[in-house]
Amino acid sequence: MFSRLALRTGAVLRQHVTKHPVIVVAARSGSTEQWDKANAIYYGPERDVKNFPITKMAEKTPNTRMGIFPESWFKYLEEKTGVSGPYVLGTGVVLTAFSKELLVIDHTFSELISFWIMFALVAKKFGPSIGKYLDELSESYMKAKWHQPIEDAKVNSKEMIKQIDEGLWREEGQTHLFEAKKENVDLQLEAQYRERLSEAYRAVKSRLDYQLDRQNTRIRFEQEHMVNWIVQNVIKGITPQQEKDAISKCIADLKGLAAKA
Amino acid sequence: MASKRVARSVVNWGQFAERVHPNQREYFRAFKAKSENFVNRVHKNPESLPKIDFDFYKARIAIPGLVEEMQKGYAALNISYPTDKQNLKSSIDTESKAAAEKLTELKDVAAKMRQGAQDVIDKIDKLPSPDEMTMEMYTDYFPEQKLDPENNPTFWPHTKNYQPGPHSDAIN
Repeated sequence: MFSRLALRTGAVLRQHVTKHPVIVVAARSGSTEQWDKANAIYYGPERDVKNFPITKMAEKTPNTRMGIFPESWFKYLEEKTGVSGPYVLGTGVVLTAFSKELLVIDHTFSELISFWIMFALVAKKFGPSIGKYLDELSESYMKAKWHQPIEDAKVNSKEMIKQIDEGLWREEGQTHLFEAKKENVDLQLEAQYRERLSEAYRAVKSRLDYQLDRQNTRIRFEQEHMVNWIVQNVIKGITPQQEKDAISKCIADLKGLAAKA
Repeated sequence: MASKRVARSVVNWGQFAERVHPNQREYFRAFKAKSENFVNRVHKNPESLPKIDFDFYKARIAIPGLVEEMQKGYAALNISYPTDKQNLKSSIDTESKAAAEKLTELKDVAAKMRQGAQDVIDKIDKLPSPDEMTMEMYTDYFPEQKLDPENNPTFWPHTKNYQPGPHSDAIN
C-alpha cells in the first residue's frame, strides 16, 4: 500500500532514484562496472546475509485483528495464555485504566467514541477506493520512472548491437569495392589491348584495300583509255568519201523502205 | 602479357549493392556505371586479332609478293599487352590494406561498444529493485547521480530543471 510506503524512507529514495532515469544514462556511458562493484558489495560472498539479511520493503501492512491490533501480538501471547488470553489481557488493561482513572470518562469521552466510529466508517467506505487510486498512481509512477527506462535501455542496447553488427557487415563489404577497383584496372588494360588489336587489323586491312582499289582503278583507267584511243583512231581513219558513200547508202535504204510501206 | 585477361565483371555486384550503406548509394551507382562503361569498352572490340582473308587479296592484287609479305607480317604481329604504368593495382592494394587495418581498429571499437551494450542487457535485470535499494546502495550503484550537497549543492527544489547552467536533461 502506498500510504505505508510513504512513511518509509524508501519512498523518498525511490522518488529520488526514479526522478532521473539514471539507467538510461548508465547504459549510454556503458558503466556497468560500477554495477558489478556495487553488486559485489551488497550481494557478494562477503555479505553476511544471516545476521544482516537483505531487507525488502513490504508492499502491504501485516495482518491485524479488530482493525488495529497486529496479528503477531496475538500469536506471541497465544503460546502462553491460549487463544482468549490476549482479549482478556486487553480488556483487563482497559478496565485497569478506567479503575485507576488513567482513562477518565468525562463529558468529552463521547467525542472520542464518535470520532473513532466515524473514522472507521470512513476508512471502511472510502479506504479501498483511495487505496486503489494510490496503487495505480504508484504503479504508473514506477512504470514511467523505473520499468520503462529499463525496458528502453534493453531495447536500445539490442538496437545498438544490431546496428553495430550490420555496420561491420557493411564495412566488410569493402573487399567487393577493392576487387571491383582492381578489376576496373584490368578491364581498362584489356580494352586498351583490344583497341590496339583492332588498330593493327584496321591498318593492315586498309593497306590491302588501298592496294586493291589502286589496282582496280588502274585497270579501269587503262581500259577506258584504250577504248577511247581505239574509237578516236577509228573515227580519224574514216575518209570523207566513205562518209559520203555511207550516207547515200542510208538514203537509198530509206527510200527502199518507204516504197515498201 | 598480363596475368589474366578479363572480359566481363566477376564482382558480385548484387552482394556489393546489398552491403552499401543507403547514404552511399549515389556513389555506388556512379561507380557501377563507370565499371559498366569499362566493360562496354572492352566489348566494343573483338577479343583476338581478327582474321584477314588473304587469299581474296592474293587473287586480286597483282603486285607480286606484297600480299604474302603482308600475311607473313600479320601472322608474326606481336601486339604487347598494355602494362599498368602508374602501378594502380599496387596502390589499390595499399589502399585496401589501409582500409583493412582501419576495419580491424573499427572492429575493436565496435566489439567494445557491443560488449557494453550486451553488459547492459545482461546486468540491468540484476539491479536491486527500488523496494530494496537504500540511499547508500543508490550512491554505490549510481555515483554520478548521488546526493552530494557538500561538493555539489543544488538550489531548491533540487530538481535538474531548476538548476542553473546546462543540465543533462536534454539527453533524456
